[in-house]
Amino acid sequence: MIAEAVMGDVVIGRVSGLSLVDQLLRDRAGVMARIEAGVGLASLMRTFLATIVVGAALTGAAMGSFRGGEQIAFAAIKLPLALLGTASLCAPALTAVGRALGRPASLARDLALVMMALAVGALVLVAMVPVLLVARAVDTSYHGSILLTVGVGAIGGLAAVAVLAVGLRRASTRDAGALLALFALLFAVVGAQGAWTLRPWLVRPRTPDVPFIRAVEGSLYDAVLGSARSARGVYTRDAAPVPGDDHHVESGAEP
Amino acid sequence: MSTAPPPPEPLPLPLPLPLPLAVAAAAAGPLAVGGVLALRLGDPAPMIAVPAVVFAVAALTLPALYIATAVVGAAPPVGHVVRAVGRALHALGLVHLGFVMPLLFLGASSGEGTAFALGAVTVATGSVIGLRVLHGALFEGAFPVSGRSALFWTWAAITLVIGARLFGELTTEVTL
Repeated sequence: MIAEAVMGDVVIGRVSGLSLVDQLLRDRAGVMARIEAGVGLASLMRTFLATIVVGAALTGAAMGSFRGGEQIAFAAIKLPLALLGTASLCAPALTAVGRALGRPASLARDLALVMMALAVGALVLVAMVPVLLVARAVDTSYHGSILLTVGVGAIGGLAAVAVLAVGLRRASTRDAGALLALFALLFAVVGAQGAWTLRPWLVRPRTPDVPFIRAVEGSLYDAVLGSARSARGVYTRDAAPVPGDDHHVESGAEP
Repeated sequence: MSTAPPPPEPLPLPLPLPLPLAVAAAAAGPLAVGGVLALRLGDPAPMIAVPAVVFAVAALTLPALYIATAVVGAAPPVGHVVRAVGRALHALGLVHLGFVMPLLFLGASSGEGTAFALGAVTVATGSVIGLRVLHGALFEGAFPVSGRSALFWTWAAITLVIGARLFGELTTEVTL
């Protein structure tokens, strides 16, 4: 569907549905102009939401195919949740920091910008699905698949941050660099922690039962710190847990 | 004797809200961040410590800034300074309020030490943005005075160190 709105001397196209997805890929400046003008934000948000849900679900399903079975559905449900959770947690922070720095911020427009960035990120993830599937087809190892999945997620995240960067620079001049750096950091930390909290994504094929979400075991930062300690030979438990064995001991002792 | 005209005074600075409301908004942010930390750490101390640190450090250090800038001839009228401080505290409160939801999520899904560190980073981020806003509100559009910014940022660095120390002392029992 295509319509037009006139804002001052500027005519802004009001496309929606698949035409908007096409515009998202080819003419992001036009979509940003529409967000800044506040033209048809509800329609934009619906399309962004659908793009994120469908794109992330497809990518999640491709991740879950490493284990197969119910993990395909689990990962297809969880990845859109991770992206939408990131948007809902981060958009108010963007508005608050923008207002504090004197930027003409509006929660609706900021949420639309964040959703647009995530929609672009989701489209980039969809473009990476064949890479995930070919890795599955050639029986890439578990650890190789994890690295590949992290890499794919990082590429999608960088694409989203790049869109945010352009959007923030267009919308504000004062302290735009500081605002972008702060928000990109928040976006990355919340997004990474959201994905970490919603693990597992791949699951080893030999694992008998697949949980929808693992029990909270601390943050991604805690895990990276623990891995760094382990790499130096400092262990916090006597043995790694074995599937089906509930009797491993947490001792805190070093080897 | 110089015959140069006196430097023009900066235009009256509008507050985003009336002063009492700006102060209330400024208090709500640190209170909310402290509340999140208190919830996660299971101790009410941070809920009192965060707003107390923000307002105590402001009350203890702002007179020094005013006196020092007045001595070097860079201080705006006192009414302008009060409004600038209100605007800065309002900005600090807004930033803290904006970070409450991410902090709640990150804190709930992290260990206690990491949650405390994230809270401290949030308080520091709001403080730095508040100081940036204070600098702009005090001096933007005013007659330029040599060394004014260096003086301000030296004061700001000292203020942050005092705030960090006070925050650490008020929350040590919770985190140890």
